[in-house]
Amino acid sequence: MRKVAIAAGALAGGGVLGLLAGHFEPVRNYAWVTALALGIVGFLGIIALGRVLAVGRTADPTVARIENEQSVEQSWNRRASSAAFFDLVVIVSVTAVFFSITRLEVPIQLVLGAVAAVALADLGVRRTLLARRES
Amino acid sequence: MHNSLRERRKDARLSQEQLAERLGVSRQTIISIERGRFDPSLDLAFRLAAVFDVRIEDLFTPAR
Repeated sequence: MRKVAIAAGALAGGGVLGLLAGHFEPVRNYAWVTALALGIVGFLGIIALGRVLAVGRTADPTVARIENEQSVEQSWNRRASSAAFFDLVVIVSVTAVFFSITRLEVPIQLVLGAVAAVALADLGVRRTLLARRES
Repeated sequence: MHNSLRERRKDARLSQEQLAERLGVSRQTIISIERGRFDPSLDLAFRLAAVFDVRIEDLFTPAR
């Protein structure tokens, strides 16, 4: 039931996001492409967020207990995520200071995209290094 | 944590894959435990001990 609610919310949220993005798209010919792209991204993002906030926190405690660090892969994922999160905080802080000092005007979506890409790469590298070192 | 998992598994004529299947974990998890690179959760340690019908302290000993 919770999953259905999340999917419905994601569908609605993604739809609204897509419509808004299409409405504000400056090039009218690209409005539907922008709407579709943002709609899909919004849908997937809300699904992921919903799972983390609703399903992950209120899952059956028995299942949560059984799944707790049962496999070495889960251990690698948790440790890599923790380390990558710390790295992300440092990266965002340094980036914020850098742009505050230099007063550079860069599109915010470019900065956030770069930060997200670095964070994902960081997570991947850390996960791979842990797996190689401990397998 | 030291463990005698590899010896116990070989005595029981179980492959890493078979043991992993019985426990519902990945083969990599068994490999990592045998090499002492991953300490299993208490729940998994009890299930491992149950597979070999030994006490948990017969399978795992603290590293000194």
